[in-house]
Amino acid sequence: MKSILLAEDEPILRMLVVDSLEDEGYEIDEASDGEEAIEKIKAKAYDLIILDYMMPKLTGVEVIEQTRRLPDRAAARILMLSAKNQQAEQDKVMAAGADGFMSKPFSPLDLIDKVEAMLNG
Amino acid sequence: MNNYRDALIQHVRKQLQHWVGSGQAAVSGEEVQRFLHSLVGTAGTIGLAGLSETARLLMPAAEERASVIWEPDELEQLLRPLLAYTTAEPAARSGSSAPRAIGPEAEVMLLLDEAAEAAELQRRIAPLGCAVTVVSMPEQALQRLLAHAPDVFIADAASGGLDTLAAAVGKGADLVTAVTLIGSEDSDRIRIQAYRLGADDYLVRPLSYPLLIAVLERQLGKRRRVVRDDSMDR
Repeated sequence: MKSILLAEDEPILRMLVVDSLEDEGYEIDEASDGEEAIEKIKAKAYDLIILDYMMPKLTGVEVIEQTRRLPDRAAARILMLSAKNQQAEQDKVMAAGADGFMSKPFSPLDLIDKVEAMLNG
Repeated sequence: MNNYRDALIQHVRKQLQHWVGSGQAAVSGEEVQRFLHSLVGTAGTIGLAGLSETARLLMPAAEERASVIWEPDELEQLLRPLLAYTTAEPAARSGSSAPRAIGPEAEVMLLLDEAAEAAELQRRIAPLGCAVTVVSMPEQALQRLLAHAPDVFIADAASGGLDTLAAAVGKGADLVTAVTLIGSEDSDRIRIQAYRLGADDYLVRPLSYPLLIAVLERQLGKRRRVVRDDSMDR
């Protein structure tokens, strides 16, 4: 079973994403802020990391930057979710080292498609 | 999805109460910005498009003050549209189960001084099947009028409605949005001013809600015909 870390501070969205992805057979770990995300990333090699852009303690971009500096996590696949959907923000996220970007709001079905594409790509 | 929506409304209501309730301390700009960012994404994802758009309209003001502190009264003013949204009846937020639905794609924008009045209007507009966006400042209303052209704009004449229309005229905008202004003054003077600035209707307080709904139905019906005719011409 593929494992995914979801770092998102908004509990209702977290619940929706977890429900959607668990229904597809993924194993989901959750983090509610950037620091918790980094702790979990250090502790486990996930197949995919899904990050919110604006989280307490560390932003999604800061989590990406720290993750890329970890020797055995540098190649982790990372998908960023953000309501800051201007091109400049997307460019910033991709430049920081994300592998994918998804604008909020999104359709849960589109998220599932994106996750499948990133895990199988 | 309804469970998520109810949970989010409760969560937002609780957060707003915590921030702007009596005797609350100041709140960091970063926290406000993060809250709105989350709300835009979450509300839109679970089908509360009006709430998502309302939060999105507040984001530029929050971003401008991301590094400063919001005092409770300032924050209350900023977040008034969200307060109105979350205190409205549940049916007012979805607008999808109406027997006389005009179309879920229709957008009604409200610029009203009183949160309670905005909430009441949302409740009454919901059966028409529209998404309702609430804004609190004339600048936000103007920005949305010019960029998104909601189907209908309902505003308090004295608290930003006339100013918004005047600013739109000043920018040379050719508004396609139907406009209804509401005011306490019952005179030809104010009506003439409103019509000259582009308002389609002017209603006097105390509001007759059946009259307002009748006006709204006519405006939405007209807008639909215009949109349909335009698409047939292409």
